Amino acid sequence: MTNNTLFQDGYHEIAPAIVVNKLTKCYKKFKALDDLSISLPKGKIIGLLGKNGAGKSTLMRCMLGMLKYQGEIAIEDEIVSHRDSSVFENVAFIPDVSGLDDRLTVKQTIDYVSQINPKWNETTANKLMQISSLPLNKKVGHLSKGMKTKLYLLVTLSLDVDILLLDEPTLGLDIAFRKEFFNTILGEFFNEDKTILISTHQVEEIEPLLQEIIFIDQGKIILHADVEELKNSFNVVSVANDLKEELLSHKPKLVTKSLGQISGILPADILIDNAHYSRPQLADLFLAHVGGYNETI
Amino acid sequence: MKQFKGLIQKEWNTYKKVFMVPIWLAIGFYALNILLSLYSLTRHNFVFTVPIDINPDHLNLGTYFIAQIAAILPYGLMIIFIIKIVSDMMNDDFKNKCAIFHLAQPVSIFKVIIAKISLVLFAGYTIPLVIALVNQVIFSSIFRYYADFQVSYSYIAFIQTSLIVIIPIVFLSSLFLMLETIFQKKSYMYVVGAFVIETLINIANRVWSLKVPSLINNIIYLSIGKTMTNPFDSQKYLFQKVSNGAYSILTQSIQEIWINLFDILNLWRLVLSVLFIVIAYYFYKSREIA
Repeated sequence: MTNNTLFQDGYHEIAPAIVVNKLTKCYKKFKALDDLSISLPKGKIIGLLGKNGAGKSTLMRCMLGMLKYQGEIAIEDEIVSHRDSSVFENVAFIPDVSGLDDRLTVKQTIDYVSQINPKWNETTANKLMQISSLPLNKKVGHLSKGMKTKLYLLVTLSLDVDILLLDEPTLGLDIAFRKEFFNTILGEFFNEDKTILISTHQVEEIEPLLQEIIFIDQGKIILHADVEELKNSFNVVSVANDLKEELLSHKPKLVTKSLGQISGILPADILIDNAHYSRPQLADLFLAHVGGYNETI
Repeated sequence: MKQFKGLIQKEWNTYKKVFMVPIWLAIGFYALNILLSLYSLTRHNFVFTVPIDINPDHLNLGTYFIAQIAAILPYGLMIIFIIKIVSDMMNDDFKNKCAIFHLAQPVSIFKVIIAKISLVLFAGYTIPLVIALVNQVIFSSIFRYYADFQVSYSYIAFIQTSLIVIIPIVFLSSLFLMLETIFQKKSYMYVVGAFVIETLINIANRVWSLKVPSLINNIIYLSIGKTMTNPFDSQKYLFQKVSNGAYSILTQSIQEIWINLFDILNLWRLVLSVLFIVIAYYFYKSREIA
């Protein structure tokens, strides 16, 4: 299979890093992914946003061949089959759970990855070791959640791979560490040849990093767009309560009320006199597309 | 090779404590014996003696059997731990939710399985070998002090036993590797299953007068049948060999071992062992990492 047969959206001109075509994954009767197709370009940081159970983790695990599925997935032109270890020759992954082996020490974990992964970069690893201050002889099981994430980050970012998949990598971590985490990703890993797919609930924290965004809901891709273009094509329109009817006549999304004002998300080409316009956040746009609290009144 | 070494090291780091249990048990056994001996010596003035009129051939034969038992015991003990270790090796990464970390590496599942079974076979053989050797040294030194027998018999028994257990260890390790991979968290199911099948065979044989062979007997035969010399069945034969002297028994034993190694039963065991490992590989590979 070549890119041409898989690449159907015509959205990207450069060769994609990952192509997914008609992907369906069922857990017994529950359809976690429903005939999903998507193409992820090289050299971008892409956000994957969805509610709990939308299919984010399942999509990533299918991309890595960890789950059985129907459909086709290709990473850098290579078809991914179930439990095909060659996928990981150029892909690294941090899952939503601390998947590290609690029975090994920090040193044993680092030595293990350095030996079994040919993409291990000793220079990067030493650099990350210096800033991580991890206790080498401590068992992973005795580390705090933050330390475990640091270790996972260290062993993942020390790999010279082109694609990084991060599935809720900062879940349960405090804000200071979350910031440090994303700064490390940008500082130590990302460049124009690399592709990062991040799924997170804290989209506002990574919004400045993202170049593309994917909204997923009920196993389907709702939207895949360039972040800047998406933000430019909508406005958060706020009007005084006496202009409420005019605002609602345009059928805005995500309508909210506050202190004598009413706001909603409208396409950028809709203008209302005496309204205040602001740039929408990705979280607002997500709720506007997928639906959430206060979406209508 | 670097990958393989890394995989072996990871498995060793994870399971070394379980592998070392037989060594601690052996140390405990000797410590207990020393304490009991000291107690007997100081309190009851008990001293072990051998009747002076014992036939030297009988003494050598007895020594040979005791040495054989002293050599086989560590291997028998190790088999219990091998079952535990292969069960943990094949399932604990999934139970502990770290399979996602180990299997998200560019290393083939086949290599992972081979590394696991290689460590089980190497450590599962070497550790009892060391214990058996220590047993022989202690046993023969103490007995030599009390009785006039040829020490070489003890070492012949040790060498002989250490060679003949190789294929049963390979067979049993592979068998349990496969069973534990198939049944995963419900590993007791294969024991229950075997007894259910055995009961059904017995019922069918009685009700319809069939002659379906016993499953459990066949498994036991495939596992250890013809491995140990039965002292009751072949006592005369062995006695004859012992009477011919140490050199004779050594050469005959080695010849028998070589003949047995190429015995059709051992060939079957090896073929089945390979088959078990391949089946374990396919079951392990087909698992989803949720």
